[in-house]
Amino acid sequence: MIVLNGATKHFSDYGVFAFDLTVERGSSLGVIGPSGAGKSTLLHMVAGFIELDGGQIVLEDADHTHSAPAQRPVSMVFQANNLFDHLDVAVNVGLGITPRFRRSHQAMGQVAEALAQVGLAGFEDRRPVSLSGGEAQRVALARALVRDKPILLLDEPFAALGPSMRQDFSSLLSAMQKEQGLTMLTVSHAPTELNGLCDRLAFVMDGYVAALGETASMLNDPPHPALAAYLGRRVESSFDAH
Amino acid sequence: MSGSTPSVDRPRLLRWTAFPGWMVITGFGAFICLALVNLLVVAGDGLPLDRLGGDYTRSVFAFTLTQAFLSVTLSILGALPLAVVLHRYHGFAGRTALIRLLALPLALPPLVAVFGLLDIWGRSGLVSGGLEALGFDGRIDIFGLQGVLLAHVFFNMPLAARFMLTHLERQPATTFRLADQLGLAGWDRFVRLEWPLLRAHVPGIAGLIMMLCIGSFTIVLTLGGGPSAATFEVAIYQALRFDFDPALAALYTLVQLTLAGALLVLLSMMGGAPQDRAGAVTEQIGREDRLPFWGFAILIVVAAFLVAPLVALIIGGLVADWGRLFVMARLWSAIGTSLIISTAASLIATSAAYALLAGRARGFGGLTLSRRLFDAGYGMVGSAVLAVPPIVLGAGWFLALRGMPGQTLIAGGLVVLVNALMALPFVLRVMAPAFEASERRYGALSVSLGLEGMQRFLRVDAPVLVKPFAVALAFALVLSVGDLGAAALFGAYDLVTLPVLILNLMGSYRTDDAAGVAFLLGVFVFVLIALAERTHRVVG
Repeated sequence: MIVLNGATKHFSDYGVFAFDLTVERGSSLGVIGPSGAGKSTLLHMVAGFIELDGGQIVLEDADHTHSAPAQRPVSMVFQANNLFDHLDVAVNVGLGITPRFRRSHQAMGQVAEALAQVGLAGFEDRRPVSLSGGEAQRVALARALVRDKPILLLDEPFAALGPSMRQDFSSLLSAMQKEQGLTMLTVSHAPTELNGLCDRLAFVMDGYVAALGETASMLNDPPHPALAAYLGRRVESSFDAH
Repeated sequence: MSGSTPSVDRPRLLRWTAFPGWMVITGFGAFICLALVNLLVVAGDGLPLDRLGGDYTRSVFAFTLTQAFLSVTLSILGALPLAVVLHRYHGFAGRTALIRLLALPLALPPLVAVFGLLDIWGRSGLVSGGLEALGFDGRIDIFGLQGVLLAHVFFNMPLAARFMLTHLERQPATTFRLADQLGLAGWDRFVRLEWPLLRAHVPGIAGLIMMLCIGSFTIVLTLGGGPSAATFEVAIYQALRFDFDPALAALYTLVQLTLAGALLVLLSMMGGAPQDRAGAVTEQIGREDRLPFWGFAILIVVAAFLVAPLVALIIGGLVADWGRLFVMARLWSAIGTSLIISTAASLIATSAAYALLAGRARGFGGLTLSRRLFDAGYGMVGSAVLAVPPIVLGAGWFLALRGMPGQTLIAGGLVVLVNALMALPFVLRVMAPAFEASERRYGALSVSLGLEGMQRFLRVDAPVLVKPFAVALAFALVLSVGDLGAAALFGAYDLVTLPVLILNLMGSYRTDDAAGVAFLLGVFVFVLIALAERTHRVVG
């Protein structure tokens, strides 16, 4: 479960970002909004990359406002640069188990199992440079699996992927989320990609959550004129009503 | 705020990562301050202020400024056409090699270069011989202002050309394509385009060269030709080593500090030290004309000016009496001392740079007071050697060492620290871009996985940064092994490095042996530079 109570950050360039949001345990929320609206800021607040100026962050019923990123019950998959290029796939995944990862029989078993789950069985010795964009994202997902954290954060997970890979990766994420009962928070600049992956969508603009609702209704019947404009829908104005 | 690699604004629990950086700042800060305090204590015994108005001080003052001003003028005047030719014409064979050659004098120990210059421009040198063969009367006397200027131009003209070329290469390619379209060529192109682009940067380049020349020690000591041609750095050395007059040394040190400090302030007001990334842009920026005769002539003259002393150095080294040199116990002792000192200094400089970079990147959250203090400390130790030259630091500690037991060992430690501090700005310049690139790429990922401290170093920093660290280590070794400044002072404590040995051999008129040792030092430096350059290119 993710709860942001007035989580606030002041940026000299962007102004004040303040979020109130709750993501229920085992649900999947997508965050959409225009560039600079605060989508990634929200995600980075939850991940712990941004120290709050005010407010509170509660994760799995514990106050994590001031805890370090690695101490939070979250795993994160970044848009890119998810893997250390100088390490092979096994170590990249294994570092999710512990920063002191060694190739023990037990640890390698965990790695192999996670890789099999994301459809990359036998990739242990491969180097990141030999992987496609989709494979690299799957390795990052395997690492998130071995971290065994209840919350998964995804920052533009499809941005570096081609159309067919996007569909495959989205299906994999959706299956994993349901299977593991993960609480998932996904940021994307392409709302349609979240259809099928997220139960609900949050529309962020100017540093706050402007609208929140079921994915289908948010996309088909935007409750906020700014969301309608963002989605490219015609907004009924008082002029049209006459 | 969107993007794949967030900046990690989250250090509440990671602030201890700044601790090693704080130790470097306070350690080096204390080292500098104690040297200065010691000078002030000596000065408190009775600073001979009346000597300030004396003939000798006035002549030192005049020579310091005159040689620096002339060196700057000649270097800038030489660099301008060279940078323009190298920028305008991309296609000629050897362009890349020439740009690399321009970097060579920067790493060459001054004492080694002096031998090459003497072989070409000295009384028995190639130029004198050539003039005599052509029927001209009299031989060139290199010792004095002319020799100092020659050496300073040898070192600084290539530096200025690289700065200028870097600035031209950073301009948008469209600027020069537009000039092509408008038919701007030759002198018009220089007056209308290149000079206006460079003009704003010339003061910064001139300021840096001025600073280097005012702090010139080795060249003035060896080519100055006597007390009438001394900078304050040489005057400090002479006051301590030959006149045994610590109060006068303290007075000159304070004058030197004031001069260097004022110039550093001026330099920072002019936008700081210029950047050197010459040759980094390989894109075709405009139409490719054939190299004209005047351009060819400039390149030939510059190449000859830079290469001839190096060739002479090699020849001088090869004809040295190696049988005699290799059985000379002092040579082996000096090699050992130099290796120990330079290895220790470069390891300290590299480790200190890593601690500073890691502290700055990972140790702080927002723009807090502690971050500002750290940044100020980073800037201070990273450029301290420009304001407080090695000879000044050495002088402070030299005076502190009087009458202490175990002087040779302590002197060795002090030379190591002075050399480490001297190398730190260069090491930071090599390491910082690679460190910051790695931080941008892996910083958030490492933090999210809890990779901290030694785990972060072993898993991420060491494997990713090993090549830039090796390059930085090599540059620090080159700087340290060729340094004469601090080592010359502490030579009084039986601490003989290779440059000190060369100086001693020159002093006892064993010039051939000195040339042999200089050759040895030059080869060592060349090998290190070649390895570093090769690795640097691989690193990018």
